Amino acid sequence: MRIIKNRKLIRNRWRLDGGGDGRVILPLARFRELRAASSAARAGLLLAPEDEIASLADADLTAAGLIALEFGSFNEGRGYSQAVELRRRGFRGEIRALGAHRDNLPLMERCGIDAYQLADGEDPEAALAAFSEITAYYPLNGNAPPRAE
Amino acid sequence: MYQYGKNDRKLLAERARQFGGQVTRFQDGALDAGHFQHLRLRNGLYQQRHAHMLRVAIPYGVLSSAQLRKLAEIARDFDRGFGHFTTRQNIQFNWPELADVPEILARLAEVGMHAIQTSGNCVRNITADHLAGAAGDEIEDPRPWCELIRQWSTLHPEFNWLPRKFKIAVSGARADRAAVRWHDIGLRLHHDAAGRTHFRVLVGGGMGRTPVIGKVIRESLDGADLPAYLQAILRVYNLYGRRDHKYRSRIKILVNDLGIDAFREKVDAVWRDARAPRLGEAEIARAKSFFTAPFFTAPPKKQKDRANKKAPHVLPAAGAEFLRWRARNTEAHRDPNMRIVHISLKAPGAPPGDLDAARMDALAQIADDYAGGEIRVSHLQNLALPHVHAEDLTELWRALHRLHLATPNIGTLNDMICCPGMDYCSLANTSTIPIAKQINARIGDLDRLCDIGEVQLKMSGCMNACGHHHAGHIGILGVDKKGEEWFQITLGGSAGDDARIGERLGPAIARARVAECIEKLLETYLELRSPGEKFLECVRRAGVAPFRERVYADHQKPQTHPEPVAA
Ligand code: SF4
Repeated sequence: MRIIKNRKLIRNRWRLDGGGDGRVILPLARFRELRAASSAARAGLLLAPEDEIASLADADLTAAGLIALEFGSFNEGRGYSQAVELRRRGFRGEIRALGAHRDNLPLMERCGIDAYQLADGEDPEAALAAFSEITAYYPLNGNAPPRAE
Repeated sequence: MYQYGKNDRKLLAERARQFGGQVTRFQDGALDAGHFQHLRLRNGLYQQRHAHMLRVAIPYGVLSSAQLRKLAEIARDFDRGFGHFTTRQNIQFNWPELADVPEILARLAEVGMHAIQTSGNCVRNITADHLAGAAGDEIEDPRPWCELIRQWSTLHPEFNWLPRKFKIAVSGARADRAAVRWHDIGLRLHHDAAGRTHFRVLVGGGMGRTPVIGKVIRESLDGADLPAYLQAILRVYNLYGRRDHKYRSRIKILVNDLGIDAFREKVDAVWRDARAPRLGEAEIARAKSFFTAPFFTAPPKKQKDRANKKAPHVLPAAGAEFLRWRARNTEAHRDPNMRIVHISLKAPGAPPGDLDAARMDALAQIADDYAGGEIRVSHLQNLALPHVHAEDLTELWRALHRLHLATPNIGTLNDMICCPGMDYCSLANTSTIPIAKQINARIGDLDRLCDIGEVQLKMSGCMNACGHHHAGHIGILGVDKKGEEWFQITLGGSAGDDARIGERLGPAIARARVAECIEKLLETYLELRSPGEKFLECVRRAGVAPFRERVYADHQKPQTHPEPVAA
């Protein structure tokens, strides 16, 4: 399966707990257990919409190979604020939206999300076009979108 | 007024193109209907009872004559020749074809207008005092701040998918004409001891099924902190507002559930923590530069005509009709040589807030001739010319009168707010426009209306309260009982600084008897009032009881509904 990262299609190297190849993405409690058991293990951290960014320790952020945010539905809005807060806390790794929809990509990107595992039925090639649909923005409401290459 | 620059225009053009693509994908079956619904709502497009409805924003109620002409063009080309001004300084077109909407948006963009975020669960059009920049009681013109908030909220990346819709209103005068306490966020401008612009911030007001008056979250916020502070409120709401139930999702519910103090703590924590940038002085000054006073530069039309050697009009002196209009529909301007002129869109028999394309064009010309090309839209569904030279008043009145736009009923009972109801809205329980007509027909005598004086009547066709009935001095709510239309009356609500939720009068009234009931309320007032006492003051003093007795005393059983109806 391919995902979008930094506006490019790449092969997905991470799997959610429960199957598939690659490194594992775990919910917070399991993520901490694994880290306690083996400091060498490097997992991804999975956050549900109701998880509070303030409850994460700096050590969680340092240890996370990536942070995946769940967008269970098209109109789930909490992940946008979670991403902004994660970037504000200084997290510089990958923030991946799980279940992203093409039409939401430009706003997600401006919130600091840089990788997208698309929802079922979304065509990854077509979704790439979404980034260039909206390039204008008002600086009062946040960062510029990254420049198209 | 604010002038669109390159960036604003680019944003509108891109957005219109993006929506055009979404419409095509939807029509081709490549975009799921449920997803498309969310996207079209964020572009102002509803599915109504009979057709689509497009809601176009008129930010903080400021409209240029060029924009009004464009709205006329759209009404003619894509609607049945009408536009409907709403209570939130928007205009709605009730008959556009889906396939035409991208074209409509492109045409609106030509004059710096759009339908972005006029519906859907996001920050809606920013509303303000419609007399901003003209009113004598103004502390500071709120429009530069409104424009900054408009930019801040437009395509805000974080807040496009809120739990529910979000409405912000701003007032910069001593009297609140923007109903700020009934909004998700209300902002009241004042100056601090050093003369800096500050805002009193209210949060969690709203109509709907659970009417709540906004609570003060911050007494005095430096204007430079406005975007950062709004962001903190919205983030707390976005993260913690309920998403499991449509009617429990507004910020008012979150504020009530947490309590205002706990809510404030959360907001302050985010605000402190976010270290969000403050507005720079240059940014504020730039916003203000768009709202200097152009009306002082244009001479009165009379003088212009004389200078152009136009023959002076020889017209009969304006008589009593003019004087009544002048007293009812105009008011003092901050410049004693000017007047503010209100244009009532509540002529008896016409749906409140409706205006046809021909009169939009004519009014645009009048605005050019007499008012520096500026028109305002009020949350009371009327229009205003904010800056008119006093010496032009008689001629202006004649021009308006010819268009039947000089109905002298501003502030009277007939100047009512009324949602579209069953005629257009698919959520409606009852009709509203026919009820408005019924009331106008029964209580239409202008002398009598002027004697009764200021009464705000507000009517909604269902509990969603788009007609703001909770805030009406007299409120009317349509309820459906076994397929019949009944009307629940409330008394004593208000929208301004004394904001209050109206109190229920009693059991719902049968459709045929609404006007009769209103008449009884007015008779009771005329009997009870002490000299100079307004309707609302009288209700507040005497209480609802005498009004209730009068309305229900001689009502037979079948005239009121036997069961209590939830308000
Ligand atoms: S109050 Fe009800 S009937 Fe009236 S416009 Fe709103 S939803 Fe429709």
